[in-house]
Amino acid sequence: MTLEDLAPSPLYQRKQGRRSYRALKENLAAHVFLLPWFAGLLIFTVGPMIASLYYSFTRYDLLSPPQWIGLGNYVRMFTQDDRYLTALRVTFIYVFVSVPLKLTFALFLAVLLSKGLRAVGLYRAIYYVPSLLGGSVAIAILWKRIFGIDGIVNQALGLFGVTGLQSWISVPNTAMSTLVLLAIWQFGSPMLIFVAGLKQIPRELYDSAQVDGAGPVSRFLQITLPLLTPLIFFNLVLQMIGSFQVFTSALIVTNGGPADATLFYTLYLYQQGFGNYQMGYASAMAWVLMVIIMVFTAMTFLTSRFWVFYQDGRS
Amino acid sequence: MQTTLKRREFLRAGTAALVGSSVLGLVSCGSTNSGTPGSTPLKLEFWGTTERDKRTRQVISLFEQSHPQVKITSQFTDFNSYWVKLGTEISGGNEPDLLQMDMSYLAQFTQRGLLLDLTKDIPDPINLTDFDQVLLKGSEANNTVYGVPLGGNYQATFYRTDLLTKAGVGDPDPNMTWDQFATYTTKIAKALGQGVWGTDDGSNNGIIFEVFLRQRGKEAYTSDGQINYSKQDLVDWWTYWDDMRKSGACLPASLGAGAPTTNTTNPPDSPLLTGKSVFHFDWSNLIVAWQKFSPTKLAMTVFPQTAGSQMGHYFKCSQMMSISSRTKHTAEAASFLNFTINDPGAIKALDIERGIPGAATAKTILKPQLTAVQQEELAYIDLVSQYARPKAVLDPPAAGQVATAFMLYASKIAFGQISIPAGADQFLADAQKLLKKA
Repeated sequence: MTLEDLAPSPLYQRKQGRRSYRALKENLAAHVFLLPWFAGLLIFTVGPMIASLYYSFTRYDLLSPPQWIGLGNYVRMFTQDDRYLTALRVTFIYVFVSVPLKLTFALFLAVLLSKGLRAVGLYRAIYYVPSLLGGSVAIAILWKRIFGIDGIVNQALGLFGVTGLQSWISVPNTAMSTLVLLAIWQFGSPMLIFVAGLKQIPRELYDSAQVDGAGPVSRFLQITLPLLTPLIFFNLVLQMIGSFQVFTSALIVTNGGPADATLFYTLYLYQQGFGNYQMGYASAMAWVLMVIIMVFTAMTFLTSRFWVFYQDGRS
Repeated sequence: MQTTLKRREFLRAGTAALVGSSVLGLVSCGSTNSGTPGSTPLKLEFWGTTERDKRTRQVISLFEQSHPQVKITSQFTDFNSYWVKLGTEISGGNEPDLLQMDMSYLAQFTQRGLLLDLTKDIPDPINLTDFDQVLLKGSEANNTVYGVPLGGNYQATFYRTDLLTKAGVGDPDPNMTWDQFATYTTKIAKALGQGVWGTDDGSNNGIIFEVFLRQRGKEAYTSDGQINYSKQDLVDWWTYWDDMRKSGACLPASLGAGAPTTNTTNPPDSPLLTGKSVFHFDWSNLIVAWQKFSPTKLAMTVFPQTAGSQMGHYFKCSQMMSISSRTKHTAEAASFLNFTINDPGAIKALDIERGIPGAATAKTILKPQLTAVQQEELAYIDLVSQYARPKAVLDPPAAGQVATAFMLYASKIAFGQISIPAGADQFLADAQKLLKKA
């Protein structure tokens, strides 16, 4: 029996060359519906990215046409710009401190919320709201007020008799901590993902572990954590990518902070591009950031095979 | 089956048509500045507040009444966003015809040929015969007029008269030297106790530093755009303020030199108005806005002097109105410029909100309608002009970036992250790099 013996079937006839036309006609509506989105992607995302790549090799001050300078911007970044290195250091510190703390907190609360409290839906909503609002200008202004010299934090501490308090956002040592706190405060969305993941762990595993005499800590470490690793991985990648690009809070709360203590990468990029009319340099910085994020994401993916355990045995 | 297919086909076709026509519709919905046929459209942009916008619109409507064939549309934003927006518009080819210009950006814009040389438009239609020549000269680039100053102001110190009374000290003497100022503010700080300091920290303020340098007989920059002061000047300056911080006379680092700067300075949050500092350094025309935010009376005085020195203050063009070099309507734009500074109606509408107007007639026209605060401002102008001499050198294009570096190093010194001599060395090295690049 060969394929030709099945020749009379419509499926085979389509394969004979009428296939592309039929396929097109059937998918026409889909293509038309996709067109606006695709056009938008090309015009507003891909196009500007290509333009930005071009500008990164030029000297472009918006006021006169761009001049090609090859790798000049990239060389300048790493050899002649101390503030760039500061921005890198500050951003790395922020990412590698705030992301683990945020995920730990999210996991901790997810575990608490999965214990079956009353009104758990209300708690979930309350904890989720900050992550919706957190990146906004309004919250950043509020944060600045809270931690300023006359802010609520100082007033509350004053009630307990603590005196001689500084403004938390104007002292280099504590300015970064207020921003890390703001990041941690937005733990709601990874928390919800963990809650969903916790629901998926089969109860039988816990029951049988309990029967075998495992305590709660042991159950958490041996059952919950390993089975949650795919979601931890997911949240880790997402949060890392996001926190490398944090901008609003850095701009509004501290504006680069006392003596560049909170000079985030994107903020420095913005200052160079829009403040100093150096669009070429800013574009180069943007592409370097993309490479950095790619490298760290790739590293996370590569190491995932050692610690991420998928229930279907895909590890 | 047949009918369902037909409906589906209809839905597909209909949606496709809808999407297609909406795309076409969006394309044609781009804004057009057509106006009525035969009229000349002009676009005006400036930075400022709604107050300034109200006044500017009054001037525009007065102008359109007497020049019916011209239609002017105006837009405004805050200072920092203005330059971003302007740069984007210029690169996109739809820059405004009339643009407000600041001295710190003048060199950058004239170097790139973006502003119209107004020489041939003076004196007709732009009549500058009774215009303040010091103000005009101070606003030129390469001895050419690229914009008409809309106002001038002087550097000023604002202070809280109520806190002075509470501290039991008298008003500051305009001839006070820097050392006397240090003693004076230390006394005030001690009298007012915990949580109140004598003065803002001036170590990161390039404006006062410039006045300080001029008192030593030198401008901040040479005429070819290089740094004109020495490491010793910086060390003297930063040591003075470091001593002030240590003695408690001026704000500590976290409130002064290191405090986060926001895009627009916000008077109600400032140490002056929150009662933490008694003296604040700023520009004279801003006293009106600051007094509005202050429940207590603010007074003005000059900066401290250097004994036996030259005068440090200078009359600065607060902002100018320039014409884009790519405008298609030079005559009408120039005519509007002339109207803004010379027409009595326009002068009354603009008042001294943008600074002291340059036309001699303006001062006589405005005197009757000035409020108490504004009259104080004028009185201060009379006082400070005795402590001023003209500034002849235009800031080079990278001056803004050098000012940012200056603030950065001042704050590093204030937090003790770097020693003063090392900070001065590094700042000078950075400044050279920045000036060379531009």
